[in-house]
Parts: sequence; structure tokens; C-alpha cells
Amino acid sequence: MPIKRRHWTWHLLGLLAALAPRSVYAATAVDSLDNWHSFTPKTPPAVAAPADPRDIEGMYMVVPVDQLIHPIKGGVNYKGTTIPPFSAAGGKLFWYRIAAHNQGILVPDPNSLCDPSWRIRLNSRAQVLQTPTLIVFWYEENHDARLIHMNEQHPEAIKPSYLGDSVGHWEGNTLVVDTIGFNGKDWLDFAGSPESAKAHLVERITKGAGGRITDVTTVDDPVMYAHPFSYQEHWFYQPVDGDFDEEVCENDIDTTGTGPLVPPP
Amino acid sequence: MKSIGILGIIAVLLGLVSLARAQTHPDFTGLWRPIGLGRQILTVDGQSPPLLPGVRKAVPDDNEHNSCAAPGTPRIFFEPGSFLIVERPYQALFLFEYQRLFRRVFMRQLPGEIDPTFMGYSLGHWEGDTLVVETGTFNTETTLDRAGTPHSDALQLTERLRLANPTTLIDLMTVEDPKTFVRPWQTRFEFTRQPGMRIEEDACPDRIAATPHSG
Repeated sequence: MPIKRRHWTWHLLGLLAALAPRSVYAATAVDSLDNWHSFTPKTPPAVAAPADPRDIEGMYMVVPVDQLIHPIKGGVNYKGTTIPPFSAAGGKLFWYRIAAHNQGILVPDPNSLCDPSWRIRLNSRAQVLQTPTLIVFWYEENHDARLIHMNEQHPEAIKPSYLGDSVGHWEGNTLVVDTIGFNGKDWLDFAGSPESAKAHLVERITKGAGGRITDVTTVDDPVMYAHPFSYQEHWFYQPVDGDFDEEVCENDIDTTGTGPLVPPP
Repeated sequence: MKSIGILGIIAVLLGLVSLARAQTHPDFTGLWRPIGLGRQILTVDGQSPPLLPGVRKAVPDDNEHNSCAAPGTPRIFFEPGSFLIVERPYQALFLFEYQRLFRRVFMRQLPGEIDPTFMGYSLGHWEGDTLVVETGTFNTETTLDRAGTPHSDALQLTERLRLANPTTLIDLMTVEDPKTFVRPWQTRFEFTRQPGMRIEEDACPDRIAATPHSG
């Protein structure tokens, strides 16, 4: 199946992969997770943030602890690393993606194809706009926006999507966001943790000192994972007037490429 | 003296009411859909925009079937789908269904260093019940509509947005581009509120791939 369109970074990575000595890959075990531990979180300088713990409006830098989700609850140990508790189906997809990467084969993910993606939350600037009825998580990368409909129920009929349908409410000073209605095409992280259409994600978002946001996400996806697990990420507050780049991924897409797409297992 | 005091209090109260009115404005927050648009942008008199002699129109195209290129402003209004306005004191954010594109109207000041963009940079302020938005710093990779009406890097838009009624938003837009048009001209957009609706996610690559004639 040809790839109709690709982000330019796909081609760049493909070129680098093609030029790289094969021994580089030969030296990497197909199940190695070493390529996904490269982020060193940086803490931006603290700025004054509104004191109201329910006021989360502002600009943020989302800082992950890694490019592979390391659960803080419900994870499993794999060679000294905590990874999500994949089911047989989820593990098959995940380890396929890891092995492909370690062998220099690129498996396009939604984000690199300019489709919406949950994983944009990792290492992207984001703006939060907050009204009593709607909270918007708006991301610079891929110009994605998550809309949190406050104090509402999910619609009875949800059109499946990459980012799903989100509703929220406050429990004390914790913003609880419930998301369902995924289309099953997305990845949860850069490494390739999969997500099925049955996924149910619940975030518990709290504001701490300096406006720092902690988002603990619990993933309940009986198709891809053996049991629910939770991971956390931190968002660092910046003033709201900061600029966003007009990052239009689609304008860099090549509409003529017909390179090989490695099918999933 | 007592009556003078009462009159003074009334005057102060009236002043406060007047001040409050001056500082409040309509809330455009919500989902809106353009109505009554064809393929070509027209002046408020229903005429074609006054192109300078020698300025040629671009080839008309239907973007949504063959390209994920950003359509720019105001062409974005001619594309399918609704858009969400989120109005805040420091900015008005327009989130479009189409390709999940956005217009960010800064209400305080523009960022310090800006480069030309597809959607342009917008600075807004309120004049009574009207949101006035001035937009410039466009690149030249877009057209004004789906009929190929061109523009240059000198394009400047001034929009006056106001509610005609609670469910109808009017956008009276003045188009200035001395490299493209004989004179400034005005066009008018009308948007209808979509109560109870939610914005739909548009994944352009998927949409193009699903188009039978693509590839």
C-alpha cells in the first residue's frame, strides 16, 4: 500500500536510515528500548501564575519524562524499565514498532502523517483557554485542539476520532477529564504504545506551585493492555501572550511519494 | 441638601452603569457556520473584486479533495465545516473544523517578531458591540476564495464583527491590497450559530486518502 502523503521529516528520517551503516542496527537488539530514553526534562524558569487552583488558563510547555510511557501505576517491568502492561494484541503491535525502528524501518505514526495525535502532548507548547463551559487544550504542534466540555455527558453517538470526545468536571481542585470515542489509529507515545477504539482515558489534572500542572492519565484499554495503568506528565506555566508558530504540517506533505509502507503484523 | 445627596448618588450609579455598559460586549464564544457563500468572494454590491489591470486570477480549485495546503484568510470561510470562537480578554481564538486550522486574534498586542503566515496575524479591539480585527502579514501562497481571486503580500484585512441577533454573526470585511486591487473594497460574511453541536475532527490526510480520485 503506497503512502500518499508524508511529512518532510519522514523523508529525512528515511534518508538518514538509508545512509546509516547497517551495523548500527545490527548492534541494536530488536527489542531494545534504548532509543526512547533520550529526553532530559528541562524545567523552565518559574513565572508568576494565578493563585486560584482552578484557574489553569495560560501557556504551557508540556514536559515528558520520556518518549515511552513509564507508568507510575499498573506498569510492568521489562529489563529494568517500567512499561505499559500490554495485552497480547497490544504487545504484538508495540514490539513490532520497536523492532522496526531498531532495524531502521520507519513505521509512520499519525503525528508524522499530520493526523491528530494524543502524543503531541509530549514536548509541545500548549495553550489552555478556560471558560465555565469549555476548556481548550490547544497545541502548537500539528495545530491540534482538545475541547473539554465541562459538566456535560458524552453524546450518545460519538463519531470516532484521533483525539476522542472529552468531558470534564471539577472534584475539589482537581480537573477530571474523561475521554472516549477514539478511532483506534493513534499512538499514545513516540515509541508506539498503541490505543484501540475501546480506550477510555481519565485524566486528573492539578495545579501546583508556580502554575505547574500535573496530569495523571489512567488508561483503560482492554484490547491493547492487560489492565489499566496510569502515567503522569507535567506542564510548565508561561504567560498567555506568548506566540505560537503557525505550524502547518500538511503544507510540508509530499503528495507524490510511493515508498514502502511496512504493514503492521 | 438631602435631595442633592440623593441626586449625587443617582448620578454616581448611572455613571457606574454607563461604565459597565462601555466595558461589556457580546460574547461570540460558540460554534458558527458560514452561510450563503459560493466559490467566489464578492463585494457587498455583489460585484467581482476590482482587480488591477494585468493581475490575473489563479486557477480555481477545490482544496478539500486534493490538497492539505492551508487555505488562508478569508478563504478558510469558503471551505467546509464550522468554526469555534473562544473569546477571552487577551485573545479571540477561531478554531476551524477544516484541517483544524486557527486564527488567533490578539487583543493586547502582536508578538514582537512575526513572519508572513497563511492565516495572517490579527490584532483586535472592541468598539462598543463590534469586534474590530485588523489582519496582515500574509504569505502569498493562498487565494481569497475558491475561484482564484489573488492577493499579494500587501494584503490588509479589517473586519467588523457584530451580532445581528443572538444566532447571527456578521463580518463586514474591508480588503486592501494596492498591489492587487484598484481600490479598497468590502465584502460581507454571515455566520449562523450551531447550538448544541460539537466541532468535528478533520484529519486531512485521511480525508484525501478517502477521496476516490486521489493518488
